Amino acid sequence: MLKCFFRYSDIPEVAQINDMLFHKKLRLQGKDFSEPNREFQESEPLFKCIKHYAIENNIEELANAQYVVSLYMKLLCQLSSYYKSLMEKEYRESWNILQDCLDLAFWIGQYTIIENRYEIPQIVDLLTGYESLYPYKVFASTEMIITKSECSICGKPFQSLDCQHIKGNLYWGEVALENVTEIKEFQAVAMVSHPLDKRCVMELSDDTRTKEEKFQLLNEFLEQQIPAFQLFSIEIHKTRRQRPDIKIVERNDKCPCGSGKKFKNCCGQDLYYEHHHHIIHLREHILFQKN
Amino acid sequence: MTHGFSLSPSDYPFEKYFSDYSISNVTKDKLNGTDILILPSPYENSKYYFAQEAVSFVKYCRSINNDVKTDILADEDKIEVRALHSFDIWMPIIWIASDIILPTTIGLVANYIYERMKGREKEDCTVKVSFIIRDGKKTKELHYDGDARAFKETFEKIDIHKL
Repeated sequence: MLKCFFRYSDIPEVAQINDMLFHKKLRLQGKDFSEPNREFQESEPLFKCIKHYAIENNIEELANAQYVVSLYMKLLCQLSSYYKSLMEKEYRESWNILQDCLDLAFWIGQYTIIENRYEIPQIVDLLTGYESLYPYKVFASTEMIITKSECSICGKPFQSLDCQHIKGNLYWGEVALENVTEIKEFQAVAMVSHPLDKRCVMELSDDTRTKEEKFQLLNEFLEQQIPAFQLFSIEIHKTRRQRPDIKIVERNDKCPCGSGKKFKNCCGQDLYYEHHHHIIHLREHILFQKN
Repeated sequence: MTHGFSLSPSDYPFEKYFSDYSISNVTKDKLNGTDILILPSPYENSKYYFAQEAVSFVKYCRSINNDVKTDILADEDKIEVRALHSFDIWMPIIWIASDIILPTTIGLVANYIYERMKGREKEDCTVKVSFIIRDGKKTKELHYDGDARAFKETFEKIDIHKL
């Protein structure tokens, strides 16, 4: 879908978008993350115009391709937003932007064969690396009974076979979405490690730690000043370390903490903790490709 | 990621479903005129819900293979879907009118999984799917619960006709 769009470069709006993408990529490569959404906002009317042209001229391929390229433009802009939020240490907000970027990359992948995805597989690789630096490992995921929903394209009940649109497929530049209108029952909220949407994170309500403490690994990683778009992988070495806050006495002596118990039955049981030593392996840079 | 399948005689409670949900005769007759029929899954609370992918799978089958008649065993306004919002693929119970159609059905499921995984090919994903196969007067069940990528490969290794 991405390459197919640029085959229509004789259409002035397509050529203009091509230039804007090139300019955006140059800005990203030059680590210019200011006004992150500028190109997306400027290109929106052009995409609308191309869609209109495609429908008027009965070219569904172009209508669908313009949608995928608009996702691509949005992804590049969201990448700027992501790095901007990291630079401003807006770690909690950056998590949602990171998920937006990943969703956009996956959507583009859904409509584009692997060989034509430009640098997107590398971007996913990079973002998954960043994802592993956050403290979020378990997520809330809903379980519910849906009794009524509508198709975003034809408006018919989505559960009905009268509506032939398949969820997630593209039709004339629009994605068929299921708009849920009636939920009979919320059955549960499950704690899962691999949900469809990782935005529903679990946080402690009385957590008084600073953001540097809460996002310690991410913060320490950013302090290394590894350039943006530098691919990396992280190796974790686990070692057992002695806790410095516990005073060691003989096993059968009374515990120094004042509990009255023997040391071996009290603090002696928590004498060691598992220390994670993270080694960052730097790999190649992402080079943004010409369209 | 593990993957595995199992085979067992089927005891799907058709009669209980029909009476509990006052299913119409038109819907009941689908058991006689359909090649592939999507069934709801019975749950502990005596309710029957369709798996998350049920409706999309029927639409998908109809869009790519008109020779195989595919339908859903429910009255039009009584389709209740259990949505889980997991990345895993929860396929419905798939009833098959004859074992001759099983290879085609497995091919359809494999292609559907491939379509669902597009764009996220490298991620771990589990597929859960059950087939109920009518073989003369008997019925047998085939279950798969495992790696999405291994689904096609697993069934390619098995001589489906000898099951």
